[in-house]
Parts: sequence; C-alpha cells; structure tokens
Amino acid sequence: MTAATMPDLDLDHVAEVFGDPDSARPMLEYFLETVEPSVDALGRLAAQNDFEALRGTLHTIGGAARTAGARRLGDLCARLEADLIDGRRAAAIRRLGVVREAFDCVGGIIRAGTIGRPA
Amino acid sequence: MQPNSEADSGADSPHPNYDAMTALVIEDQPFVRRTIVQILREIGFQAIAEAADGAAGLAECIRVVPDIIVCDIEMRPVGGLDFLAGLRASPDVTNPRVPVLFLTNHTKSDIVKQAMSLGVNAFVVKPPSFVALKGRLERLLAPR
Repeated sequence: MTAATMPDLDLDHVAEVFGDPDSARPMLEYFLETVEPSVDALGRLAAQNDFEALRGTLHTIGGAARTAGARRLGDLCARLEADLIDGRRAAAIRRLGVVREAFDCVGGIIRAGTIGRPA
Repeated sequence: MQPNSEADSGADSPHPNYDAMTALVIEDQPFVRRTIVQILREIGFQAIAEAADGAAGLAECIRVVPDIIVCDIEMRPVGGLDFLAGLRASPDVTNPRVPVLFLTNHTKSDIVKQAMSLGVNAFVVKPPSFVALKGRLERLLAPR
C-alpha cells in the first residue's frame, strides 16, 4: 500500500483503540491539539537547518499519528524521517508540505464529527 | 527485531492482580501517553503514574515504586535508554530491577541490542494496542 492509498484515518483502528465514536472523538481532538504545534514547527526547523530536531519532530508526529490511526500521516513522517537519516535532506524538505496537508486532512475528518457515521 | 518480542517467556499462569499494582508510563507525546494510560486502565490498572521524559521518570520511580514501567525510547531531554541505564544503576530506587517494557517505533537492531544489554524486559512496537500490551504484561507480571 502506498502513502497515496493509505486511509487518512483508519476507522477500524480508532474503534479498536478508542471505542465508540463518542469515546473516540475527545481523544482524537486531543491528538490534533497536541500534534499541531509539532507540524507547525517543521518549516522553522528546516529553515534553521536543524535536521536532527526535524527528524525527531517527524518521529514524534509519526508515532502519534500511528497511535491515532492516521495512517497516511504516520507513513509520510516515517518516510521523511528515513530520508533525513539517509542524508536525503533536500528531498525530505521538499515534501514537508505534504505532512501539513495530511495532518489537515485527518483534522478535517475528526472535526467534521462524522467518525463512525455512514458516509 | 521481532515485533512485540519479549526477553522472558512464561508458561500459562494466573492473571496478574493489576488493580493492586502501580504502573508508570514514560512518554513525551501527551496524546500517546494518554492513550497508553487509557489502555492500562482497560487492562485493570487503577494506579498509574506518568512522566514526560526519562529524568522525570526516574523521579517518579523513587516517588511511587512502580510494579511495571511502560516507556518510550525517543524522548527529550532524557530518552528511554538513558532512563533505563539510570534506573538499573540507581541506589535510590526501591526496585531497580522493576520490569520495563519499551513502547517504540524503533526497530533498528543497534537500539534493540543496547536496550537488551541495559536490561529491558520486553518491547511493543507502536501503535500501542490493548491486545499487545495485555499479552506482554501478563507474561511479565503473572504470579510465579
């Protein structure tokens, strides 16, 4: 499965870990609240050429994303972290905007309040 | 590294008395920490202490005397490996051999080897799940 085909939010995972939608929603909103500052920091860290902090921040976002079931975001962060570790800094920095886009996508799903409801 | 591997294997044994035990969760990301705490409550723990990095974790070990520690590896300023080294060598902790379970994204063999040499008892690969954590905890904490 490629990043492009991964779900923005794995609802099976959400149900398994957080339970029914009423239980899940506050936790997922807490995910958004606590992860957004890290997403906001990515551009600044890249501009400062602080690649170790950038790698660590991607690692943190990725771990939280996987915990929340935000699979595309988690996968993206893992790939960019690997790029930084392997020295592909320019490639990683070019794709930082995709992290923001993926975070906003999962945020839209959570804030729309449609978790667990038929499409 | 074998995902969700453990250092000790155990035969079938009675379930641990979780509601009489204290768990300590050391994780710097607040949402992940809250999720782990929630899963531990579902498993049966009533007393759960929390810390946001290894230094705070060591202080909590002295304060609450945990029966089990669930710990992330990558944290700042003090990470899980430095925490574990400090714990096992500490003269101030009541039980420096308390079981430690690393919950991590890291699967690199050098980190696993270092953790094993420092005396980690088990790993669970993120994302944390009820089934994976319960399985590891049952084997680590079952009455012998």
